[in-house]
Amino acid sequence: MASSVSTPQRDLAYYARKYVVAALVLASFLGYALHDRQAYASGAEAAAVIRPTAAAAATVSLPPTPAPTRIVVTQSAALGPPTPGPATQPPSAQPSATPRPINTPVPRPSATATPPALVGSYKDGTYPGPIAKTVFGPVQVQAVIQGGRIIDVQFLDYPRARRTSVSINSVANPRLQQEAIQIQSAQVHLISGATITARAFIESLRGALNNARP
Amino acid sequence: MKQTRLMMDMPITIEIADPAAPEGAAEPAFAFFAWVDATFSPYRSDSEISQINDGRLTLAQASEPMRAIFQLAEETREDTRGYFDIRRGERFEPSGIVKGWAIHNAALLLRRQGYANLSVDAGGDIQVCGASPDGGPWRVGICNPFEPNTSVKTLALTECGVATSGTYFRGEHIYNPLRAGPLVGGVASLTVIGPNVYEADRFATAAFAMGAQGVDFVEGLEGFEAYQIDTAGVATFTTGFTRYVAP
Repeated sequence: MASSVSTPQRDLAYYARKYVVAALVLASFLGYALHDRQAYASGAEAAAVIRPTAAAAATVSLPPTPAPTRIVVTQSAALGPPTPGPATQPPSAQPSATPRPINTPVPRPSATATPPALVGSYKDGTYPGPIAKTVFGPVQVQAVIQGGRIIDVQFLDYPRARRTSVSINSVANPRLQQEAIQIQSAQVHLISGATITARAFIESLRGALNNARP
Repeated sequence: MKQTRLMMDMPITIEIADPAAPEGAAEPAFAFFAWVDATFSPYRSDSEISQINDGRLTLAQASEPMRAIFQLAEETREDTRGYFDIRRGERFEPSGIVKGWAIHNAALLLRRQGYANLSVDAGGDIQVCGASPDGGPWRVGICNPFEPNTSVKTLALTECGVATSGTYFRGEHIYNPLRAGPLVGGVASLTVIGPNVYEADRFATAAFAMGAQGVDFVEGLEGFEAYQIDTAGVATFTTGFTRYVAP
């Protein structure tokens, strides 16, 4: 993992533990992937076709839902207390309350060098990561941990679209309204923005989560 | 419950607002994303898409989900007059259609488990179902492309998908299959709201590649709305867009 940021010195045992855990997790994902590839080869659900103007949500083919014993909990066994939810919205169907048994997979050598999803439990708190450089500008994130889990990832520094002074006109359709954008102060649950796939984002987040390891 | 994991090189956040949803309720959805990554990641040499691109596997030999994705990609190419195309010379890059498809199906998977109120957000493309944790619609901000820690519009949504295309966070340029040169000038971001995130994402990707005409294209799509922000900070939006704006 290339990075222009310095990291604290770690001994060999630390890296060995880290990569064994990573290999276990990756092996479990690959095991699940191979299981489902075989299930599909035997002819489970046909692919559905999406129509562009379909108003109803279209169903597309899914790998078969795994049986409970195959679920691998990728966080540690020490689960936090359940989050109490508001009683305002009755569910349309009762969710399953059966706890899923944790299945530890047999470790298999990882076939690729791609790092797996970041897993494990973390110390509660807010952890900034290192600044990572991209051609678009610097990226720095911080991870917010609550109940041992990542509940939010916030940007401390980020590339911005370059601003120009000339507006493009969508005169092809004069029916369309225009407005100057205005920053909103309202609280939101989610933000929709351009997909955050830059490697620098991942580097900074990994650094932040390293700081959050117990 | 609410949880974020880094998968498919993106932060993926799942929130289930149903009362008493246990901490592990999203595990099947995260496991599904892991399968998507193992199958479709171009960065993994053993993924199915890498095997196809390396010539180790033909499309006829590929799995049903892979063939379904190629079929959906071809339909999208036709629906968008070629502005959406997974071909990259001799190789295929279906990430632009896999992402929305995966989020859409992850949400469906959770609904099959019995949850009615949830959101799935993968790198800023979002599917919402039912009500948010405070009982009302999900409040979704449109990211300010000039200050990505802020939002410039607040939407009140339920049972739909939102996807935003823009270049400011990507590691690579938006690929325009119909024009020479990688970058699209004039448009900083384009947000599309549709009946589900699969639909919103495929049209956001294609419409962004059309430049200034992107919002016009979405205006012509029944059941879709768009908010397009140009590099001068002026937004153009479709005629039905305001019904999604929070009061």
